[in-house]
Amino acid sequence: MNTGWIRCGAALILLGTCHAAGKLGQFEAKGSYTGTPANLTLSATVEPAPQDKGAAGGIYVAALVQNDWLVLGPTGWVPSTMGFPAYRTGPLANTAVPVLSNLDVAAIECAQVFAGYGRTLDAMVGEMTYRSIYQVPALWPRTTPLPCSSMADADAARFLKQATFGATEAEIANVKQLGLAAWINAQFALPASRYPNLPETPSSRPAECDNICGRDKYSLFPLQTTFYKNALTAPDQLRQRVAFALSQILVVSGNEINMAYSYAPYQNILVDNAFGNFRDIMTQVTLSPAMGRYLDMVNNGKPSSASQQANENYARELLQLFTIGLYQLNQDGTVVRDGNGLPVPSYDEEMVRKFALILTGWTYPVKPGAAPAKYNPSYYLGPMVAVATNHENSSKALFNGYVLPAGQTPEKDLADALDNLFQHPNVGPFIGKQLIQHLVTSNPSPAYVARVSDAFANNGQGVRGDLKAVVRAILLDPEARGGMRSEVNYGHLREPVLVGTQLLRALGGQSDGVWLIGQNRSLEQNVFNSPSVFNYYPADYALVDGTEAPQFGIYNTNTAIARVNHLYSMVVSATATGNVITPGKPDTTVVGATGTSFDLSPLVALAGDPAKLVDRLNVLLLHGTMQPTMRDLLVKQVTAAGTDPLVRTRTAIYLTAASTAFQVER
Amino acid sequence: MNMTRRDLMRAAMLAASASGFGWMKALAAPASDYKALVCVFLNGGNDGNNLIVPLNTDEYTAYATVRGGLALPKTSDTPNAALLSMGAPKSQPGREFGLHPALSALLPMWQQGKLAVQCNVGSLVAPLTMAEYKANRNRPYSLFSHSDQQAQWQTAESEEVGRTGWGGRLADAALGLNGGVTIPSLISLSGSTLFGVGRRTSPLVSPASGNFGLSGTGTSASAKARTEGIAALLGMDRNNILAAAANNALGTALNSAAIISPIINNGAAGVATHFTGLTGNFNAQLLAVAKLIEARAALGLSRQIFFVQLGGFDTHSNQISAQEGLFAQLGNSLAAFYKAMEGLGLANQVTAFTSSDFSRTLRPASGAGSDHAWGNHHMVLGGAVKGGDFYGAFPTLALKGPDDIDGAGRWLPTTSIDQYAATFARWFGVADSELTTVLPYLSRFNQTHMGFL
Repeated sequence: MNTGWIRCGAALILLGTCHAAGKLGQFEAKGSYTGTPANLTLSATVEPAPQDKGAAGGIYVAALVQNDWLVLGPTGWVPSTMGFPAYRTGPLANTAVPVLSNLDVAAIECAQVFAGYGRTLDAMVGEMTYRSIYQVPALWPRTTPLPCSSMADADAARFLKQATFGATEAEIANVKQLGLAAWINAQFALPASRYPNLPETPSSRPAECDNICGRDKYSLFPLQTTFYKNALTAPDQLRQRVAFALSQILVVSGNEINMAYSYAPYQNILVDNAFGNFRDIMTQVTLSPAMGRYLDMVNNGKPSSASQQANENYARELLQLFTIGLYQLNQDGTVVRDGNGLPVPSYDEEMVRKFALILTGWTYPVKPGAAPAKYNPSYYLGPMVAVATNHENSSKALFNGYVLPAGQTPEKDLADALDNLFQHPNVGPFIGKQLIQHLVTSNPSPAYVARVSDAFANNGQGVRGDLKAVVRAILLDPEARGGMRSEVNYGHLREPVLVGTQLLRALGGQSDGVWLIGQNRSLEQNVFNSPSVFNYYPADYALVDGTEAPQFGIYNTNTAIARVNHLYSMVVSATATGNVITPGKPDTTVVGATGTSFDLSPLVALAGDPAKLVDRLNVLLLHGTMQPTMRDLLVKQVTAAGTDPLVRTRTAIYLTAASTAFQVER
Repeated sequence: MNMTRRDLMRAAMLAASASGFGWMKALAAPASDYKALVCVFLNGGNDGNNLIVPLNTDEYTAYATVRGGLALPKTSDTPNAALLSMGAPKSQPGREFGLHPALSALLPMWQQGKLAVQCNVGSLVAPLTMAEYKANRNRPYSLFSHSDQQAQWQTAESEEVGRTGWGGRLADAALGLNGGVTIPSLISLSGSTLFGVGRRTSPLVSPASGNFGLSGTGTSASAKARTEGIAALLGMDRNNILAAAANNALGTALNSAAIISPIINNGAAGVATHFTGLTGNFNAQLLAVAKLIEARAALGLSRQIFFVQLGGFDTHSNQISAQEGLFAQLGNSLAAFYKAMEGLGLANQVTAFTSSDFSRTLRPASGAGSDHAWGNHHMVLGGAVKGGDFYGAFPTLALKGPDDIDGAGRWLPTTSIDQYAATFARWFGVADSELTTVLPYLSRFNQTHMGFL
C-alpha cells in the first residue's frame, strides 16, 4: 500500500481542479474509460504547444492506481518504486502514450493519467512546464471520495493556510466548488468583521475601575479576543488574514496605546482597507491618533526656535518601515547596489527632517464639547486635526525631483507628500514582498516579487496600490500554488498565532481567544502588543547563511521548547471530557466566554489503526506532505503510546504539530 | 548551527531521560580560570547626554542651554533629582562630571574604581573625520535607524548587514578555551539576539526563570513515545533550510535545558540575597546570570558571555521621567549584580558593559524627548576594570560644535564599536592575532583597545 514515495494524497498538486479531459496549458493528457467494473482503459496523447515543439526535456506519464503511481518507462508500466523514468526524452513532439488496461477496478483507489513535460523528476512532481490530468468519471463504484479530489483537497488546504487562519473541511469544499479566483472574489465581497466601537475612557484609570475593568478598558484584551474570534470563525477570513499581515507592517503597539477604545479604530483602518488602496491606508494610518501618539506625530509642533526640532519619529518610520524601506529596490525586490557593491540608500537624514517638518501641526481630534486648541487633549475617536499656525510650510525638495511648494496648508502638504511617497517605485516591492512573506514564503524568487510589484503598480485598470490586485497576485502566483515545494528555502515558519488558529480550525475546535492570548504571549507573539514598531519579529531577520526568515526573530532555544510545550498544553495535558479536550475553561469574568475546546471523536474513531490516524492527520494538518519516514515514525510512536485511543490520538496530533513538517509551512 | 549526528543522538538521549547529562561533565575541561562578560543592551537608544553631564560651569551652562527642559539640574531641592558629582575622572584632573541621579547605586563603584565610562563610542567603518563625514565618505549604513544601529552594535559590522554578532564570534574564538563543551557559551536571557550568533556557535536563549524543558517527560509509555518521537523528528526534514534551522535550535535547547533549568530556578542560590527587594524582568535577567555564574561548574565552561536587555529607551517624548525609571532599574540591578560577583569572589573575573542603538540628539524634540543620534557614552563595570576614569574623548556639547554632525547635537563617534569590543575580547583571552577574526574592522584603527581592562 505505501511502498511508493508518492501517494495519492501526497503530491502532484495541480493548478486548478481535475478535468474530465484535462487540459492545462497546451499540453493534454487524454483518457478513455469503459465502465465495466472489471476493466479500465487509460491512455494519453501528448500535444505540445507549437512554440514548445522541439524543446529538450522528458515526458513523464503516470497513472495513479491502487494508491501508488504506475509510471510508464522503457519496459512498460511499473510501480513508482522502480523509479520514475521519462517515457520519452529528447525534443518535445506529439506523442501517443500506450494504453493501460485490464485493471482490477475493485482494487483501484483512483485512476488518472497524468502526463508532464519537464527537465527533471522534480519537475514531474511539482513544476512541469505543462501538465494535464485525466480522471475517471464519477460513476466510480466507490463511496469514498476519489483521491483525485483529495489532491485538489490538498491544494485547497494549502491555499487556505496561506489565505486564511486555517483550512476547515467546509472551506476546502467551498474553494473546490468555486475555484481559487472565484473564492478570492467572494471573499472580497464579504462585509468586514470589525473591532467594536468603544466609548472613550478617561486617560487615567479611575480608582473604582477594578482589575476586570482595567483588563477590559485599559488593556487591549477585548480587541485580542475579538481578533481570535474573527480569526477562528469570521467568514471574511482573507480580509482578516491580510489585515493581520498589515498590522505587522504598519505597527502600533499596545505597549503604549493600551486603552482598548483608543486602539480599536486603528485596527479597523487595516480591516476596512485590507482590500482597498494602499494610498488610503497611508493617509488614515498617518492621521490615526493612535499612531500619532505611538510615534509622536501628534502635537508635533512647528519648531519654535533653533534649539528645538520637529519630532522625527513618525517621519523616519513612515519612510523606513511603512512605505519605501532603507534601500532603493528593483521591482523584483532586490536591492540596488552602487559601483562598490553596496546598497544604495533610499533617503538620507535630511529627507527624514523634511518629512518631520511636513508632518508638523497635527493634534488630537477635538473632544466633544471641548474648544479646538493648538494642542488638543488626548482623544482617539476620529482622525487627527491640523492647526495651520503650528505647521512649518517651507518649500522642500522630495523624491523624484518633486518640490513641495511653500505656504501650503498642513492638509495639502500631507496629501502632496504622501502622493510623492506613494509614487516611489519602492512601495510595491517593499510592501508586496512583505505580504508574500506573511502569507506564503520567506524567500520568494525575484520573479515572484516582480509579478506582485506589477500588480501593485497597475491593477490592470491603471490603478496603483490596489490591494485586491496585490492579494490576488500573491495567492494565485505559480510560486504560491503547485505541488509540495522542493526549493530548499521555501515556506515560512508558522508564527505562533497561526499555529494555534490553524490547529483549532483543522480540528474543528472553538475558542473565545482567552487561552490563546496567554499562550502566544509566552511565545513572544502577544497580539497587538509587539515590543516595538519593528513588530514581534523584524521583517528583515535572516539566518546566518542569509536565508530570510522573519519569524525566526522569535524562534530560539527558549521558544523552540515553549512551542512544543504549547502543543503539550493544548493537546496532551488539557482536560478531557469524553473525547472533548478543553485547554481553556470559560473565564466567568469574560462576557460570552466559551473557553477553548475541540472534539477529537472523529480522530479517536480511527485510533484503533495508528496508520489510519496518522494518514488522516497528514491530510488535516500537512495537506498530504508527510514523508514516509515521518509516517513510519509516527505510526511507531502512536502504537507505543499504548492502546487507549484518546492517548494515541493526542500523541499523534502532538507529534505531527510539533514536527517541522507542520511548523514550517510549505 | 550545524548539528552533527552525534548532537542529535545526544538530544535524543536527553529528551528520553530527564537527568541525562552525565556526558556533559565528562567532556568539560576543568576551569583553570573563569571569565565572563555580560552585555547589557539598552534597547531603543539610550540618551547618553543625560548619563554623564559635565559640571564645570561653562560646560554645564552650554549643556543646560541647549537641553532646555531635558537638562538635569546641578542642584535641586527635590531629593534625588540633581546630578551626582563623580568628581574628576582620574586622567582629567580639574574637570567635574555628574552621573544621572537614578544611577546612584553605581556611584560607589565609580568611587572605588570599578566603574569606567567609555565616551562617544559608536558605529564606524574606519576612523572618520568630520570633513569625511560631510563629504559622505565611509558612513556606516543606515545611521539613526533602530534596527540597523542595533545590528551594528551587535555585529560590529557597519559597511553592510552582518549575519553574525561579535559576541558569537567571541564565543567561536573561545571554543578552545572552553575545552570542547558543547553547551553554548553564550547565553541570552532576553530572547533572540544577533549579538550571540557565531559562525561556529549559536546562542542559547534561556528564560530568566520558569519552565525550560519539555513538558510531560516521564516514564509512562505515552510520555516516552512523545519524547522519543520529538527527538527522532529532529533528524528529519533536513533538506529545507528553515526546517533544519528550527530543528537545530530545538536540538540545542534539549541538549542544554536539563542543566540550565534547575540553576535558574534555584531559589536557594546564594547570589539571590544581593537582589532582595528588586523586581522586574531586567532584574530577573541579571539574577539569572548571577545564578548561572554561581553554578558555573555544572556547565563546565571557562568562558561565558551573557546577554541581557532593558527596553524602553526610545524616548522621543517624556524623556525625563522615562529615563529616570529605566536608570533606576539599571543602576540598582547592576549594582546588585556586582555585589553578587564580589560575594562569589569573582568580581575580577566578571565584566559587565552597556550597549545601545545610539545616543540621542542633544537638542530636544517636540514632545519633551529627543531623536536618534550616534556616538554615545557607555559604562563598564567589574573588578578588573580600571575604573573611576573616562576613556575616549568626551564631545563638546554644542550644536554645530566640533563633534556635531548636523546641528541637532549628534556626535561623530571618536571611538568605534570595534575598539570598545576588542578591549573585552583581549581581556577574555583572545590572542591579538585572533582579534581581527572577531572584529574584522579592528585593524583599520591605530588604537586596538581602549585600556579600561
